[in-house]
Amino acid sequence: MQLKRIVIYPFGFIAALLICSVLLIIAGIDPFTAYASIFTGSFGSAYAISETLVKMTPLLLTAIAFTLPYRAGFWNIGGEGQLFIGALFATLFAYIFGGMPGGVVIPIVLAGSFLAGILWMIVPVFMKVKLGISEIFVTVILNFVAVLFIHYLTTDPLKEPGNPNPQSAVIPVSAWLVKILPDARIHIGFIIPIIAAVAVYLVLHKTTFGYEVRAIGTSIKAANYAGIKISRRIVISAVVGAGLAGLAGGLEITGIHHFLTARLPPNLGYFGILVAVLGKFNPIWEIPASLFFAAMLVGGETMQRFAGVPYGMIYVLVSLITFIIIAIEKIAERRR
Amino acid sequence: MDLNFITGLMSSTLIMTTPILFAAIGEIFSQRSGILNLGIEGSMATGAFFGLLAAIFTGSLWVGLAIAMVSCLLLNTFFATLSIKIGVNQVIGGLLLWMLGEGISYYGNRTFYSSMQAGIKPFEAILFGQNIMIYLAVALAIISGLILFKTTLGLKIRAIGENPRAADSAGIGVNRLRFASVLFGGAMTGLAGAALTLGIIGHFGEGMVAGRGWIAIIVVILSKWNPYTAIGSSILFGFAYALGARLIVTGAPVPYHFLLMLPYFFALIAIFFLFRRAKPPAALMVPYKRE
Repeated sequence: MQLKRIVIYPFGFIAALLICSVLLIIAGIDPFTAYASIFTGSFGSAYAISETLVKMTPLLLTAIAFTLPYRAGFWNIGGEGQLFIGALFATLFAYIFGGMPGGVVIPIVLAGSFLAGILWMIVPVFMKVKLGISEIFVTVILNFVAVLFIHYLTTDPLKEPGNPNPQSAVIPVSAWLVKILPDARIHIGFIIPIIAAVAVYLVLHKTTFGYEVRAIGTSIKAANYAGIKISRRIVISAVVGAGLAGLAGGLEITGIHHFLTARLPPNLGYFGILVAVLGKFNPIWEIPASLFFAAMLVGGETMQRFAGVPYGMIYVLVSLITFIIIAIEKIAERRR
Repeated sequence: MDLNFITGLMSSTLIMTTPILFAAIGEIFSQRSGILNLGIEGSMATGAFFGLLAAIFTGSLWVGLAIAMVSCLLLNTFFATLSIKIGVNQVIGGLLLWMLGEGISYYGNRTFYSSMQAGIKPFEAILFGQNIMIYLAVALAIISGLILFKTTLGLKIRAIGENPRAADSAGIGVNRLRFASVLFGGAMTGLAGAALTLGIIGHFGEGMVAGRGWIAIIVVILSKWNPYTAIGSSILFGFAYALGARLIVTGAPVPYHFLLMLPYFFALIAIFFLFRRAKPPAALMVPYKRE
C-alpha cells in the first residue's frame, strides 16, 4: 500500500504535467520555464518556503474540516463559507477584546473564529439530522451567501473610512500572531493545523468516539445495529470540522492580513477538499498533501508573474493530478 | 410599483431562466440514469468561455453555441470516465469537474484576454422581446420530456437509474447508456454556459456562473426529475435572479449584496420545504459493476 503510493503519486504528477504542457505550448509558453518557476516560487528561497507554509495553514485546516465530517458520512462542502465567517468573527473579536494583553486576546479571537464556523454549520447539520435533507447543497449555497455577506460588510458597515479598498480597519496589534521570520509572512499559527491533524487522527483512530464515527461512515445501518448514537456523532464531527474551517479564517486574519477583506485567497475551502481526497481522508497524510497543494498554489502565482502563465493553469494542474491519482488508485484497488 | 418595473421583471425573469433550464434538463438525464453530476457549475464556466471565444473568432453565435456544447461534452468525458468506468465516488468526481472547469475557463480567458475583452453582441430578440434561447430551452425541455417518458430510450434511461441489474439482464448496456446520458448532460451545460455569454451578457467574467450550476441541480430535485416541471422551477429561480438585478437597477433601499443573495435564499427555502418529499432514482450514486 505504502509502496504503491510511492509509485502512483509521482506518476500522476508527471502525467498531469505532460497534459498541461500541451495547454502551455498552445498558449506559446515554454513548459520548462513555467514549471521551473512553480518550483522556485514555492521552494526556491527561504521566503518562498515561508510563503508555501503560509498557504499550507488554511489548506490543511479546511482539509481536516472536510475529513472529520466525511468520516461520519457527512459531506461538508461548506469550508469556504465557514472560513470567511471565521475571518469575520476573528476581526470582530479582535476589535472587542483588543485592549487585553496579547496572550489573552489571541486565544479569545481564535476561539471566536472556531465558534463562527460552528454557527455557520448549525443550519445544514440541523437539516441533515432532524429533517434528513442532504447537506451537500445547503453547505454549498451557504458559501455563496457568506462571501457576499463579507463583501457587503467590507464595502459598507465595517469599511474603514477613507480607505479606497473594500476592507475593514486594521485589528489591534495585540491580536496579531507573532512572526517567525522578520522579512516573511510566516507566523507561529502554522503549527496549529499540524497539531489539529495529529489530534483528529488520534481521535479518529484511538478513541471510542473515533471508532464510532468511522463505523457510521462505513455503514450507517451497521452502526445503528451496534447501538451507536448516530445523530449525535454526526453533529459533533460536522460542528468540529466547521469550527476548524472557521479557525482557518481566524488564522488568515490574525496571522496574515490583520484586517477583514472579501479578497482572502479564493477557493481555499474547495482546494481543501482536494487535499483531503489526495490524502485519502487521513489527517496525517493530508499534511504532505496540503504542503504539496500549497506549493502548487504559491508557485502558480510566481508562474503567472515571471512566466506569464495565467493562474487558471494551476486549477487545471491540481485537478488533473488529483484526477489521475484517484483514478489509478481505484483501478489498482479493483485489480486486487 | 409601476408597470414598467413589472414588464421588465417578467422579461428578465425569462432571460435569467435560460441558463438554469438548459443545465437542469441535462442534469435530469444524468441523474435519471443514476449519475449525480455535481460539476455542472464548472462545466458551465467552460461552456460560457468557449462559446464566446468561438463566436468572437468566427463571428457566428451559432458556431459559438456548437463549440460550447462540444467543449463541455469533451470536458464531461473526464467525469464520466471517472464515475462510470472507474467507479470513483460521484460527489468527489463532480467537485473535481467543478475545479477543472473553472480553471479551464480562467486560463482560457487570460490566454485570449484581448479578444475576449471585445465581447460580442448577444442574440437579438425575435419574439415578445425575447431572444431565441428561451424558446430553445422550453422546446428542449418538452422534447426531453417526450423522450424520457414516451420512448424506449427514455424507458431504458429510467430503468438503469432505478434498477441497473434488472435492466442489464433485459439486455441494456447500463454503463454505456449512463455514459451517453452524462455526455448529453455535459453538452447541455455547454448550452447553459453559452446562454450566459451569448444569450445575455456578451462578455465573459470569472465567476460569472455565480451558483447557477448548483441552483440547476436544486431545480432538478424540486421538479422531481421531470423536464416539464423543470420549466416552472427554473422560472422560479430565473425570477430570483431577475428580481435582484431589477431592484439593484431601480435603486431599492437594500444593499445590493443582499439582492444578489436572493437566489440563494430562494434555494434554501425551497430545500427546506420541498426536499424531503423528493425521491431520487433508486440507483443514483450507485456505481454499476457486472458480477
